Amino acid sequence: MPDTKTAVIHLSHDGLVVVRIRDAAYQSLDDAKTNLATALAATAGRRRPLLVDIRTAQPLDAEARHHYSGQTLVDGFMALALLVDSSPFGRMMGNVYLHIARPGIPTQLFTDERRAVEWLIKHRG
Amino acid sequence: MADQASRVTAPAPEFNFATDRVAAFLRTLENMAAGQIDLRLPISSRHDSLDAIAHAINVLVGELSWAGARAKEVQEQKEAELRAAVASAEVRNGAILRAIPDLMFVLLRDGTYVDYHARDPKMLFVPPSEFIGKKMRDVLPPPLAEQMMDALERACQTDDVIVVDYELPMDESRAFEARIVQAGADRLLSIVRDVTESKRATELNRDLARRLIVRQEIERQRIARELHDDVSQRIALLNIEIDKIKSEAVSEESRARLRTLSAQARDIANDVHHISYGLHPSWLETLGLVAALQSLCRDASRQRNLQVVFRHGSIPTSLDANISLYLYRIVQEALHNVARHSHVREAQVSVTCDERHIVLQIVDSGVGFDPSQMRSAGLGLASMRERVAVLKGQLAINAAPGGGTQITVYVPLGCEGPSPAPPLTAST
Repeated sequence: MPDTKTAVIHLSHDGLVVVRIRDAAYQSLDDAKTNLATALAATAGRRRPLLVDIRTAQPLDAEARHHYSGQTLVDGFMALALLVDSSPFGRMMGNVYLHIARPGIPTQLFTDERRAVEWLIKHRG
Repeated sequence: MADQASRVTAPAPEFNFATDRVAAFLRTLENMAAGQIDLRLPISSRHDSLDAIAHAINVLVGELSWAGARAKEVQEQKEAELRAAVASAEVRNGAILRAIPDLMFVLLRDGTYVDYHARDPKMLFVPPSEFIGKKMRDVLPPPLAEQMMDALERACQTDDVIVVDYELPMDESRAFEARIVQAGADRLLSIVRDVTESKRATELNRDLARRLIVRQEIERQRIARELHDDVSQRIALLNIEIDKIKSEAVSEESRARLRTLSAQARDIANDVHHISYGLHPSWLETLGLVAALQSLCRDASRQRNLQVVFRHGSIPTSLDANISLYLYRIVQEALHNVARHSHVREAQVSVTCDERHIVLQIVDSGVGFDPSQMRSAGLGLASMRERVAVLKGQLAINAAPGGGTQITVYVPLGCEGPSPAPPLTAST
């Protein structure tokens, strides 16, 4: 399971790439590049759905946020489920990503991981 | 249906925040408002509404900073590209300027020199310190300054290039060609080329052509005289001898053969006479230009199957023999061209005189030609042009494909005619 300083990343048995941001981890632009590159490596060369768990993450800086929504995401992944905390802050973080960063693939916020996985599997085709 | 966070029943907002958190929030917010845009509002581990508000504000400030930084990057990139383009253009323009031998001057409309380019400063009439910031009238000889000022004014009125030819007393008198164009609202660009060498080459070429023509005429005259004074006389003597033998012949058969021989000798004498006349029309000297042209037109009608109408005005009898000869040659060449190229059998030749010029005109209504293709024309037209140039006259050719040809020659009455040909040596 490839780990980075700020995330734990693996390919699930459902064929999803799962990125779990570590508890209270602050992600710089370099961290964002490392995490996305590692997630891309986990796809094994196929476009796959991506589950990112930011429930315990610290807010992103603008640079990191824009990197996470750039062309690398579009090229490597077919859909993105963001797993957020149901608190006002968690929803704010998710919505900020959804509406400001505007990722170029189908993206949805979830508070329930099981439903997030179900939604991603539908996109897996 | 996806379980969107926004659709999860949100807990009721809590506004019961600790005073120290609110105080820290407000203090940071004030500092951010004061310009410390790198600051971020504190976010606790509670992830409550205050944290959400803080995050929202942090995101807004972060996005503004990010957008500002990106805009600055783009601006800097554009500026760098512009600087590179300007540097590249300067290198290219510098190379072009170094390669161009011409002088260039940027002038204001009032004739003030504001900039210049000279690959070799020795080509300048005066050093730059003596003309930059000064007006043409303060730098150039007065007549030339007026000529140039007039050209500047004309250039201001048109998009065309105004060309001025002039000479300047440098280390020797040198000829220049200035091409003046507008270069912006109130500026003009004058590109000046030293055409001294090319002008000298043209004059040398013309002088050589003139000498060749003169030498050709002398040689023709010599051959014509040989034919007339020697060959014709000997044929005449031969004929007299034949007639004498014929009168002494006994048999009719011998007399008949001698008559035939005598007739052949007369034919040869006639041919030699015509050749001699064609080489040098002696009538020019004895009867003058009009009579010689009349004879030429008559001969052309007969020998070349042309109908040549000749008319003339009053021509001075004191006309220089060489001028007459050159005009005669021009008509001779023109009628040759009519017979050979025009595809018609009619032509008009006229020679008249006004107060200042003798005007010679040869007109046909044949197939004509394109004067713009005259560079490829034969020696005939070139020879006409050179003869007219020697006479300091003007040659006008009015022709168009299918529209006939009209050749008009103006020769000034005061012209003294070509000077005797100097020897053609290897050095000339």
